[in-house]
Amino acid sequence: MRHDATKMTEGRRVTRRRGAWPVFALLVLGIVVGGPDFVAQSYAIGSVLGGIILLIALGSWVMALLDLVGGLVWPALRHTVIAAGLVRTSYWLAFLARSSWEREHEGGQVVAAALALLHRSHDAALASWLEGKIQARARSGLGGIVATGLLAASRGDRDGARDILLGVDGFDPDFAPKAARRAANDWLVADAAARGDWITVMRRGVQPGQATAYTRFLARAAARIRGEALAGEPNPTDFGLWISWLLAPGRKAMRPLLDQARAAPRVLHQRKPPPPAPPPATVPLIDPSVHADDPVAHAQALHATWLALRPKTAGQPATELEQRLSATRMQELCRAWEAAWAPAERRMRQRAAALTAQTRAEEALAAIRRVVARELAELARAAKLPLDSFEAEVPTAALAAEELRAELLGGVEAGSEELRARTAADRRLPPAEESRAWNQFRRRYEEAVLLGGMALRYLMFPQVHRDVCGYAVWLWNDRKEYGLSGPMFQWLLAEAEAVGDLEAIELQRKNVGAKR
Amino acid sequence: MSQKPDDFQALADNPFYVLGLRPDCSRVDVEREGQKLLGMLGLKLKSAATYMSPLGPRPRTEDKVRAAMAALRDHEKRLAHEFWASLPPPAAPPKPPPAPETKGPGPAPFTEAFAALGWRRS
Repeated sequence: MRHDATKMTEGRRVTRRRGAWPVFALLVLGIVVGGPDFVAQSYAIGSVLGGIILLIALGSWVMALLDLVGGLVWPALRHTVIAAGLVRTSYWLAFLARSSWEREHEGGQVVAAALALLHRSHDAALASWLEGKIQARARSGLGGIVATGLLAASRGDRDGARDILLGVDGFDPDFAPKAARRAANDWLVADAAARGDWITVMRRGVQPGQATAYTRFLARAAARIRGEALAGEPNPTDFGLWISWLLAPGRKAMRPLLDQARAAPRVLHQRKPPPPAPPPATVPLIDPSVHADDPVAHAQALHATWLALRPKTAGQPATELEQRLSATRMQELCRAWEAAWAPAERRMRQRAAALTAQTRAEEALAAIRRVVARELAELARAAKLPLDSFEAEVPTAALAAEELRAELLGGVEAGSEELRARTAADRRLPPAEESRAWNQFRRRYEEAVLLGGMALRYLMFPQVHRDVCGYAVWLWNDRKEYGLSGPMFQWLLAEAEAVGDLEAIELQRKNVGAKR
Repeated sequence: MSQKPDDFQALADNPFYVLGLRPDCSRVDVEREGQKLLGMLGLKLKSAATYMSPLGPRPRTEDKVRAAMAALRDHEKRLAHEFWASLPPPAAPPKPPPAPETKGPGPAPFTEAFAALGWRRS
């Protein structure tokens, strides 16, 4: 076979040598017959062809050069066109920053445009244009997710933006361009600093692979003021703070923070920081001990005391409730309710007779018991109290535990079923929404595990494994969302190992080992 | 559990607290107090704008007053509401304790964080 192939190649060479003579002969004939006009025309055609070849060569050189110094193009764009708020120009020029965006330069283009949008007053028309580009060009990959998060921030939806951008942490680093992770981290650190969440600033600000000069300065200043060491580096010196500040953007805006940090004493030895002063405790409106002689009023006063500690608005952390409502306090509350039911029933019988109500006192009280159990379960959930906090021998506590367990289990089952149904129906969400949906489900499951313990984990895992595995395989095979589905397989493997499901462990090891 | 903070209605929005009455009041008291409050709210009097519940002061609206009156006219509903109104409402919210004078756990929120990056505040 090899020999025959050589023969064929020699044969072709002979043909090519013979083929050059007619072309040469035609050229000579053209010069003789056509004269000077033919020579001029040939020269013009040759010049144009030469120009085109030169342009192609130059273009290739420019692309090669961009790949060589590609790391500089993205920062240069961020400091020029993106900083100037030129949304469309940033979008088109970001194509040149191919090497910073590895496999997804469309993602780089939409992130550049989203960043530029943050640098100017919000323009609804430009935002819609960018949304269209995200849907058309960046259907998969991290760039689309980051751009969607930044777009939400531009629209003023900071909670939504935070939720979407936090999804970047769950993305497979092999499929996550550094530029995307840094852009998301910059926004998350700025958001945390603006909210006064300095622990998050210190944690995210020096995270390898995501930290920038801006986040490093904020983290170091916060560490110095709080007298704490950062992960992997000591408490910063004055010189270190100056250097970080000089390297960071927005020096004028950050100067007060630098001065405040320099004024704080440097902690030379890493030590456990003193516990922060507890916030002033909320004074209960009603003192339960005043009603000690009336079991019903006493239970209600205790109940009201804890309900009053719930956050005032939805989404706020229930920090005070979490700190003060311990398992012992919950047991005290359940026992208070248990002691209240008998006198409450007597009282309700009398009132039902006086009001000539049709409802029997027992029925009315049964409905109230359900309301109380639901509210106790809600309190326990807000205070992150595990199911074990409820005493099984106290019927009110057992009912509340049952409510909490049903809520946790029901939430996970519904979320799992939703993933399964979407997979089966091939109902696709945009990447940012897909990442958000997955993170919400994962948080719900992890909360159920935290509060429900191993018993609930064993119960939930078979369904969750079946549905999430199908969902992750769909994302991998059909949608090529490797960055999203890779960590899902890793998560499933960790869960399978936690519950000791050998079959699932074997399957997920294979899935985790699979690479594009 | 998708319960919002305002879903705990049994105590906070109890009709007796909305109308400022005790569970042993008569039906006539309910009508009289309800009409009086509706009149005061119509005149936008500040004294009628809030009521005290065991969970603290709550805004009082005409809709809430009408709903409270309707609930207390129904004997079946009144029976349950009487149970939840066992506690006398607190007179006034206590003054919050003074904040401790110790230094806080870190710098104050950095409102210029977005501006430092050249971004507008979201």
